Amino acid sequence: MKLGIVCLLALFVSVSQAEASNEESSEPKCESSGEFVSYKAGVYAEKSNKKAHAFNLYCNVAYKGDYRAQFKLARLYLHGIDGYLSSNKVVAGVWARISNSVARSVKRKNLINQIESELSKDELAELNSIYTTARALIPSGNRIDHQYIKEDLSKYLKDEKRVYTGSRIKRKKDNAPNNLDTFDFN
Amino acid sequence: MKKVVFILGFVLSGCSFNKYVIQDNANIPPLSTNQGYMGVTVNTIEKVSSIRFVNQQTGENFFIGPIDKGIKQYTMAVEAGDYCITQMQAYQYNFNFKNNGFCVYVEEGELNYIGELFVRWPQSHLQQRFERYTALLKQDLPALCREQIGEGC
Repeated sequence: MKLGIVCLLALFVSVSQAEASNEESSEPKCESSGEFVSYKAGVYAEKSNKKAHAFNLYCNVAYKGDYRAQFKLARLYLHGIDGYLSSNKVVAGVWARISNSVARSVKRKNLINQIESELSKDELAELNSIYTTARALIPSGNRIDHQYIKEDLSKYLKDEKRVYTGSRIKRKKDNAPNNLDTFDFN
Repeated sequence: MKKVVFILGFVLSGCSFNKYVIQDNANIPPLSTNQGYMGVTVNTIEKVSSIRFVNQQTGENFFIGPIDKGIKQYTMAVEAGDYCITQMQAYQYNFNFKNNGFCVYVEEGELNYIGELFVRWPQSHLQQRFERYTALLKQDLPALCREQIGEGC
């Protein structure tokens, strides 16, 4: 009988752990494809109140070293996006610090101070540790769009058709981003 | 005669030199809604007569210059939008840059740094040298430097 209860408890624990990890993986990953995406497209998406689109567009540019996109990502991570991205102050702090590491500004420094003042001692230590690794991998101080391209920015706001399997989002095979350049903060 | 034609051309097309350039530290124009600062450093070993900027949305042309040899920063208060350095007059030639030239997207309420334009024969290029721009801004317009960049000013 006792053995049965222990087995049931172990099963319950493993299921809840699996659920928790599923929940974690449902968070959108910030990643960059090799394709060129204009930073302006992210600004346009944000102004059109399509923050999820803006998040993905900024991610694309931020990994290529665009400090403006890195700053915008910091703000999105700080406040979160309703129903899409949970607020994560540590990640927000990492992006804010990266954005201000080469091209500095008072605006970006103020955001760093605001984020750091809201973190606990442990979170600050975590931020320091992640930042050291991230800064070595992610460039900053660039502006990606040095060439003017006249384009219809609304094309970036079209929803991609996605295949949903349980709580995990899978991209269509032919839409799979090639030349992935991902840094996972978790 | 050539010079007269150029000057006449500029006047007729309604273009102006250093129209938006901030030159007085005591008189920095505050940004109004939908305006941003645009900063560029010019690094040249010869005198440059003019550098042309084009606002891609409105088509407005404006120029900075003449620029003596050396390294100098130019910071301007302009409407938000896309701006490109499309043409330059130096070495007694007119250089038209390919593909609209060197461009920047000016965001409102920000200091938007284009880069350092190396004026060289036969090919000019643009590099990101933010540290140098900060040092030059600190020297020429310390108030703006402190207000926008802070650290290093």
